[in-house]
Amino acid sequence: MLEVVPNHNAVEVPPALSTATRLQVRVGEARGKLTIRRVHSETSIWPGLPRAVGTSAVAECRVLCLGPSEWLAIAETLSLPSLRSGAFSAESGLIAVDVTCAIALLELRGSGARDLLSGGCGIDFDLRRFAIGRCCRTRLAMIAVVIDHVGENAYNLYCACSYLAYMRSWLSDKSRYLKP
Amino acid sequence: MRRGPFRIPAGGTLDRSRTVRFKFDARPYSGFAGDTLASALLGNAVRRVARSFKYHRPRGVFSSGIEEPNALLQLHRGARSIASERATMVELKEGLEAYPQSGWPSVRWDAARVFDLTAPLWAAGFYNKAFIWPSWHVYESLVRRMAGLGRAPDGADPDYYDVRNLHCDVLVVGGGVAGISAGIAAGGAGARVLLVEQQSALGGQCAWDGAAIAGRSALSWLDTAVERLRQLPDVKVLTRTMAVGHYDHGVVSLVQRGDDGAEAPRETLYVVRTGKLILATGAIEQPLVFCNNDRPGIMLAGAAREYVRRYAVAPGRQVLVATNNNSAYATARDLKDAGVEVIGIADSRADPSAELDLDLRSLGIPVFSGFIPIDTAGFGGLRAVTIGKLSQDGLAVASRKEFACDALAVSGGWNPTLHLHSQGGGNLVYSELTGALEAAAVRSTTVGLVGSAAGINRIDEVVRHAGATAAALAATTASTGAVATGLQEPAQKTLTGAVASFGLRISPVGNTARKWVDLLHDVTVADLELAVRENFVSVEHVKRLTTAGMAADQGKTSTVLTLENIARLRGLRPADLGHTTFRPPFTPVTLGSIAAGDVGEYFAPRRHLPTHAWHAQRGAVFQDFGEWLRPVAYLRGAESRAQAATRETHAVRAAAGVFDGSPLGKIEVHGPDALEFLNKFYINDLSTLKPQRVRYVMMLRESGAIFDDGTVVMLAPDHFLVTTTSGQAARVTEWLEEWHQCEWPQLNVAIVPITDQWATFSLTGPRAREILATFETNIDLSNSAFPHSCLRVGHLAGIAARVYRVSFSGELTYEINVASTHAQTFMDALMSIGICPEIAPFGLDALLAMRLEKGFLHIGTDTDGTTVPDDVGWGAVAARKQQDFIGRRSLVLPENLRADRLQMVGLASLKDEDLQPGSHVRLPDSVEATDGWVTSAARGTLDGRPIGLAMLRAGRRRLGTELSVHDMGRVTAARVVALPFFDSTGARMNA
Repeated sequence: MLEVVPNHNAVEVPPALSTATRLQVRVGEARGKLTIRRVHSETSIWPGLPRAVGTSAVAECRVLCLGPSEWLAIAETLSLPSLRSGAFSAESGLIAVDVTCAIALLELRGSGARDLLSGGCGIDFDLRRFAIGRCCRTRLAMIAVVIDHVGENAYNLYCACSYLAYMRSWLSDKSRYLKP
Repeated sequence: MRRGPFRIPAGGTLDRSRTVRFKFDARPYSGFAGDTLASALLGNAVRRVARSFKYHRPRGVFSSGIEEPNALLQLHRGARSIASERATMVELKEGLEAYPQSGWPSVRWDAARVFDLTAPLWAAGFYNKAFIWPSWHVYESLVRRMAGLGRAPDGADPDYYDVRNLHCDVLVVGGGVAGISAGIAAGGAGARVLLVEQQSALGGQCAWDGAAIAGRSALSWLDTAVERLRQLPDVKVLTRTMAVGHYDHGVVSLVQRGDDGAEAPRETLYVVRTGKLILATGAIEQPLVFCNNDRPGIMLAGAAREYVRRYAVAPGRQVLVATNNNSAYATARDLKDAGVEVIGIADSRADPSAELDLDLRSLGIPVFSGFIPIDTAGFGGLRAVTIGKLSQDGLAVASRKEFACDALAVSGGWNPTLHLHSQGGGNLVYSELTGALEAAAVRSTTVGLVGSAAGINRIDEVVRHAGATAAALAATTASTGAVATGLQEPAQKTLTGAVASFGLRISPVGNTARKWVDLLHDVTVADLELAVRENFVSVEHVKRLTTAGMAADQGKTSTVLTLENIARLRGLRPADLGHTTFRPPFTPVTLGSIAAGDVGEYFAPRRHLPTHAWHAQRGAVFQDFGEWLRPVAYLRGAESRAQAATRETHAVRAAAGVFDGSPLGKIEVHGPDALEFLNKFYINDLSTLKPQRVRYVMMLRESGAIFDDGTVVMLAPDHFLVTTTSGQAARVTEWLEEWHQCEWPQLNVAIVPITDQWATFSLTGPRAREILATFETNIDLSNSAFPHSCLRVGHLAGIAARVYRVSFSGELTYEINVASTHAQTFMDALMSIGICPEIAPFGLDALLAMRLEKGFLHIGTDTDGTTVPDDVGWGAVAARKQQDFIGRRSLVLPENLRADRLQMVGLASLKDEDLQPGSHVRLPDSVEATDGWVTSAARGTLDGRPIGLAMLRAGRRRLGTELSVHDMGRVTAARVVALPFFDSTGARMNA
């Protein structure tokens, strides 16, 4: 079985952002992604997956629990997340579908990230409630997204690839109005 | 600088070193930094600022706050113009331009004053009674010209509006003494606090009224308190911010006016989700009702006090004060101290000295006990006031006095500002003790009332009670952790203070048609009398007939007086009458702040195809289809869109074309019960589906109406691919999820939307196979190995692909799905094949024309929310299916079996004129206004004749019938023909 430990530093945040730059938004490098679903409602959850909705865990790849029977696994590279293939079988009750090309990653870095997200999303990003290591599926700028709090002032934002241009444009438009 | 004639030389909280120039009605004036537009106008002795809504009577500034019913002005010109701004709330800025909103030729001399002289004609509801004969439309244009206030800006708003989501444990609305005390207590208890104040600084009344708090000056208390707030780590303060709506689950909306600065948004809308809400919203003074109580110069007493103390502006040169309670005495005293001549105080109570516990002689102002204003005089503004002492029975005037004066400060008591409390479901009751609508006994664990909103007026008690209430609420918030107990700090509601007692506030004598209740909508006591006479019983009904309380001020100074008047007329106690409903917003909100950033490019999300740029390079004209930007045609040179579509269809029919169908909805359904699950959704029997075979499927709503169509393929017994129409992909996914989660959770399936994972390209045309065969591939493309309605999984030019043989164009088609990140590589490879002169990319226009020719259904274009499968020729398939499916039961409802239902047919124009979608069709012998309509139209791709699809009454029986087609007054003729128009054997797509 995979050794899984809760991880709060899964993504390296570029150090020493200049104080003038409250926010950097960039398209993340392509990474392999799998959506993992539990098919059998009665099977117990594979222990390698985080159990509580809105939490994440990291071993060979980062796994976000997005719903009671739904996870998103994200690799560090383009190759698919190397979860043990035996994990997905009729017996385990888990299936995995490759969504590498379906989901785009935007990396938000800087102290302005929370402000920016609050401009289009109703989630409470207060650090006591949405701490590092928390994730959620929500709506930002009217579209479905997954927000993953990966480090101090660092948020990874996942949206459907077809929305990437819209999302980038929205983020850049709104960040013009961030207070310094 | 010319000092305003009403400006008092010293005092106030103005910055007299900074003169601010502004214009009103195109005339230049000046005021000081710290002025509002209203105080600056008064300072310049501008008394007439508006004309009333109905009678065009002159009106002046009436209040000093959000309740202002008269001084609604148009600010600025051009695109930034804004209508009905309350002058009392507008901070004076250099260069401000304000205009009256009514009055012709001017606000000072208004010809429409004729309506005032003929007032009996315009009683409540006159438009419902008078404009019936011969028709409302005869009067409409005139009424439209006369009615309304203000003008819309004459250009697109150039400013930026922002929207923010905020979260807190405790939201305190109001930054006066009560709100600050509550904020400190809640913040001190460890709660996350948001404190909002409508003005630009905290303090409220205590910043100018000279009160003492805890034995020291209010200003010194305020400094300390604001500093404490600042030091609390989790307290955020928003000034210039109005809380306008209170909704379920602790959602409160705020609107913040922008401060100066080029990059700042003009307004910001905050959506706050709070655990607890504390209302420190204060109280609004109510006026008195007497004849001609609307003249410029008549003003609320509290406002008069604020103008003189805060803005150093006198409301007039000779001021009479009229009150029914104690609060106006402070006004009289402050006016006198500022050197304004105070003629006297008319107090409607018999013995005010006992109420005040004061020797009235010590005031140095004459007090007329038991007197109430009876009438006023003055054409353009107040000249004289008559006060009277009533007879024993209260029906006649026993004695009267007349005073020449140019200002009258009136006070009819104070009503707590509980709009947000009421919007959130809190109950209000009329109190006989205070004559106000107060909160019913509060047992809420989430909403607390403090300060004068809670009816508490003694300042030290306000501080203590607000702090204790906030601490109790904060103790049970998320941050502090305890469980709510439902306890509220009991208030010591000693009524020593402003409204210790109150006397008569509605004069019972005089012409009721001249006694205004609602100043903004010009509603008089006579209107209320008429309504009650006409048997309008409920306050809600009286409100709607008379429009009392329905104006832009939402009755802030009229609701209680309206209630009292109706109660008196109906012989009831006001408490038994109930009250009208308070709804958001509390004050008017601009459309700009509601739309916030969701304008222009961000009005709706946009989705891009994986190879968007590639299409753009080829001259694609993009259109928005359910969020997706899709090419409708690829223009070459000076081609029109129609010419391009014709060229593209010819290319496809002759050789081959490629269509980007990436938005096609794609869903994977996994699990041992996937087949059973999917079979519940479609009218088609999936139990006979063989692996790798594609089945065209149609799904219905419970009503039997067609919801969507697409395909289902079995990859493995526990793995299915489902496609949906492009526009419905998300809706179908949600539909599947909803039924799985709510109705059939026992079925072991997982539904995975994968639309964005796969780019979809339709290679279509007679040479499609030949082209595809040039790729290196492990798929046998021969017709025998890979016939129509099959799917193959393999590689094309080294790229993993799922290839369907399905056709929407009627030609041999390979629908190739590749991972969207490989889309560009694949397209480059495809286009570099030199076998044809070229493979034409074609857009939706060409595709839809070709599918029309084949008679293929386009859901949502040819169907609507009433179309059932039989209407479009799929009735037999649904009837044959043995198993149950969603919507099946509805298909046998009598309505869905009617013989004269609209049915899909083909139309061929008889006159070589284009058919237009939406045109109505009529059968030759018809007695009906319409027998159906054209749903799609095009020109035949090979012969160019105009053809169309239509939904026609009992259409399938009408083959060969000639009918008329009606489009915007143009009439043409068409014949009902058999479908399809093209390749009826299907030889081409099966080739």
